Amino acid sequence: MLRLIRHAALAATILSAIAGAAGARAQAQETLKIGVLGTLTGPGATWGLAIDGGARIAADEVNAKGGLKVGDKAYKVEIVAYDDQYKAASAVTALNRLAGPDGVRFVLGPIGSASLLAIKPITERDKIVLFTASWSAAVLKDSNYIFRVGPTTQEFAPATIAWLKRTHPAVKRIATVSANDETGWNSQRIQKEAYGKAGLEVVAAEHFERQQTDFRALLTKLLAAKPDSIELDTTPPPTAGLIIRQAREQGYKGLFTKFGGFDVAEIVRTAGADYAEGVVGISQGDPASPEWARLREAYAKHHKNEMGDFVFLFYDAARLLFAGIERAGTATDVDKVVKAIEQSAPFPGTVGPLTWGGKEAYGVDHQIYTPLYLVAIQEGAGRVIGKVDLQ
Amino acid sequence: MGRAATAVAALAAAAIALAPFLAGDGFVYHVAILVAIEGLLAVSLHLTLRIGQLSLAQGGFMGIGAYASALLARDAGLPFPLALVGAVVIAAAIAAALGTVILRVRGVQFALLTFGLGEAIVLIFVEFVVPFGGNNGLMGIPPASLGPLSLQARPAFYGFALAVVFLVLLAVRGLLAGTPGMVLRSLADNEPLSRSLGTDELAWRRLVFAASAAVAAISGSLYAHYLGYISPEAFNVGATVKALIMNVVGGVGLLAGPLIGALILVPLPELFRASVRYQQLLYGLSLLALMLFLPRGLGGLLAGRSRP
Amino acid sequence: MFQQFLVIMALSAAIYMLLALGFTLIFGVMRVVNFAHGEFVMLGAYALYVVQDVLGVGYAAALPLAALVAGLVGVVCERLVFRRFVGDEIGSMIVALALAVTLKGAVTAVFGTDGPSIARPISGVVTLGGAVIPKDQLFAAAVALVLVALTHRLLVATRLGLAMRAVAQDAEAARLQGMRPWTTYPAAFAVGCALAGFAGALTAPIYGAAPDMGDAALMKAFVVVVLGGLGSIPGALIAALLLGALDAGISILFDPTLAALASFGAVIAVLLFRPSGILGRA
Repeated sequence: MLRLIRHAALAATILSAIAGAAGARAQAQETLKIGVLGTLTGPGATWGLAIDGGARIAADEVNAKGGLKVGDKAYKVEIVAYDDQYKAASAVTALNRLAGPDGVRFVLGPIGSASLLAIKPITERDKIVLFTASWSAAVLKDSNYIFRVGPTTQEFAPATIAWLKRTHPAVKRIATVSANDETGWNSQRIQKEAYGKAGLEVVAAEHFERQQTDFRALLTKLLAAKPDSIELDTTPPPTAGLIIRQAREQGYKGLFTKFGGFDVAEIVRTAGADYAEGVVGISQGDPASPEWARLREAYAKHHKNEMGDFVFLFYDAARLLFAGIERAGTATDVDKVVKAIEQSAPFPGTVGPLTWGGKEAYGVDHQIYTPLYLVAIQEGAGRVIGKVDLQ
Repeated sequence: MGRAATAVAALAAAAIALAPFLAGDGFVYHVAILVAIEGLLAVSLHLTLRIGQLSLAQGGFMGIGAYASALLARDAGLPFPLALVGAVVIAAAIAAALGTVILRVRGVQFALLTFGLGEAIVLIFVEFVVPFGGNNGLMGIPPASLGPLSLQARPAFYGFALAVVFLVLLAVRGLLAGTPGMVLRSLADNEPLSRSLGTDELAWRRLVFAASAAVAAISGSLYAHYLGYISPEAFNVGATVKALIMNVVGGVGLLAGPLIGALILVPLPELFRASVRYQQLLYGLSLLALMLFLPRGLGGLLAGRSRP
Repeated sequence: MFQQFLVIMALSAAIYMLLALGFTLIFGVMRVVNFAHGEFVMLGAYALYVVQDVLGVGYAAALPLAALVAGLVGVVCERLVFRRFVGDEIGSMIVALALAVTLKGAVTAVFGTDGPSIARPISGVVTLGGAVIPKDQLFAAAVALVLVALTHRLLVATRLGLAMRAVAQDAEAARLQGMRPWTTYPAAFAVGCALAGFAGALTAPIYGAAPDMGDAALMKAFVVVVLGGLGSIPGALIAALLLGALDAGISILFDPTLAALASFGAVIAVLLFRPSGILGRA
């Protein structure tokens, strides 16, 4: 008898869950669902949570003002966030669910290049707008519905390297470290080219696996080339912190630059404040500014971890999207919304104007240019030491 | 099972298989296609369980099928049906060649050996960027089509996948009911006797192992041409473990077991998707509960006590 | 570069020994291939975080406490899960896989997916003949070796150890001699999981902790245990040295993926041609 009850309970759970999933399709009229697709679990989670946090802060603001005004209707914005686990197949499933049962037309994310390239054929075919921070060069090619929310290595490498040459004339020999995948290959290739053009010698270029935590062997090889500066490129910040620590422990005395996805809190956490001292990177915002403090407070309502600068990108991207929808006067005609977004440059971003470019490199003006700061880690905190001028 | 019960079961199966056509929703088709693809991998694992050897390399064979099919269609320009057949032949040939050596190992050692083999296959995809694309995988894989008939739309692809699953089940049933199945059963009953009668049991086990790799390769080829994108981590031992869990949940004693398992486990994470933080925990707990309280699987429950 | 290679090899090998010891002990005694072994390493790391960084206990006391937590969870799992699968090698392997998912999920649910911030009690380096050795890694390796020696003492010089070895050789005969497997099994699981917990708590300050850190730990333990022969402790010690050399050497000369590929190649070769391991009789 007990067995029977157990079985019945199990069956009931499964059935009710399926019914629940089906019922989710019936949605309230006045709600507009915006999708978030990012790595919410595992090593890439910092960036995925930044997408989610930025989107939710923007949605809270618009809802507090009575919702999104589209024509004569006001929509309450609801964020639907799914995890892609940094896996292409999970991204495809999550996107199918967003586009199908959830009826989402606008998605913030993803960041992983593999995830983005896997869903791109579907989003282009079904006209789903993506705001991504995926850095692969192939992202914007042959696409009409993808916007890239911030500058990539392609855009800033000449400027950051020029800054390095100007401020550190003794640095001649560069070593670069990047992840062994599309993101890392692409950014390392561009960095190597840009360093070469600037007259600096790249003496070592190494790749690591994303799940790696032990870099002693890699660093033995790297340090044997006697670099003056190590470029950490697009390495995920927690991993970058481990590399910094292990390199210092193997006796490396030179400079670290991280021109690509910086996160002071994460690097200090894994490297320790002593070893992280003096590491230079780029940031979307000034950690000492009132804007940062405001977003940080809003972010803390949604997530427990320390806010990273990518929140600026996705907070602005969400606001840009909302403005585009209001301007187009429709939340369903995707082509009209895309056109409205294209026409809204320059858009007032949180720290400065956002402009569009990219036609030359990618064939479409969907690359968003944002203000960019140079930040150095001093006593465990980020201090702005300069600003990057993108064209 | 009695005749009436069989009829009921067949009707139920047909109803479930045709349900997505009634729902007509893109996402339901998507999940149904994944059920078919992952169910095929589970069937392939089921075959290795039938020769009494748990192979944890089936995900690797699915990967071989996926990469072979993708490269044959994309780079060699073969039409999808030929790429599919090519992938199956390649995977089966590799399994047959390996089988001569590795099937001599039995029991837990075989499971560990194939665990190593499965990881090694995936690492080969990662290490050799040409031709496999490394961690980045392969993209731009042509969508499936049968001559002039495009299978790109989800309903069409689902129809095709359903037909493939049906044919594979028929073939597997034939294999298990025919000579190899008989040899294997007599081996299980009385190994020394059937050995003394001169059955070359290793050859038969090798045949079944090659067939299991072929089924895994079909699954891989469907996966590659449905998603249009493949990367190595989709085929690691984790994929095999998922297929194994499908067998356990559905019941290892039944041919329908792996498919029942796929039908439950593929949609399961979707139910927990709203609670990302608890998703894995709920999934793990459901699995543990099933294994502890329903050791013969849900299939075993449906089939009653008629089969061990 | 060669001195650095030797240092990396030796430091890694000590940790690999500790990772493998618990894995091989549990298999030897219970015939359970504990695919959740890596999760006990992870539990040790998180327990260290809670005891040291949340409760503020010093590292010297936090380290054994963390291992104790992993050991206790191990006993609970043995009682609730593994005991039902004794004698079913494949079944216990499968249930271990499900347990791994559950433990990973439980830690994610409690602590989230971001790795916690774990204080480093030891810092600085010593230089030895042109090679640089970080003090924290040296400490971890030294403690690992002490634990290996202690485990060896436990097995050869105590009643419990004798019982474990007897059950490992022949469970039925041991039972007839009055040794109850129902006490040796939890004891073996406790020791095996506590050793895994030590490995996690020793490496967490160096490499950090994350819910999925067990995967890499399991791979290392798996390779060492198979190369050394399932259930063989001396074999595991030799194999740990071998894997340390293989890993460090190939990673320095080529890349870590190739090193992993080579170690799995070695696993396959050993299982095919010397299934009892490098020390065993083929």
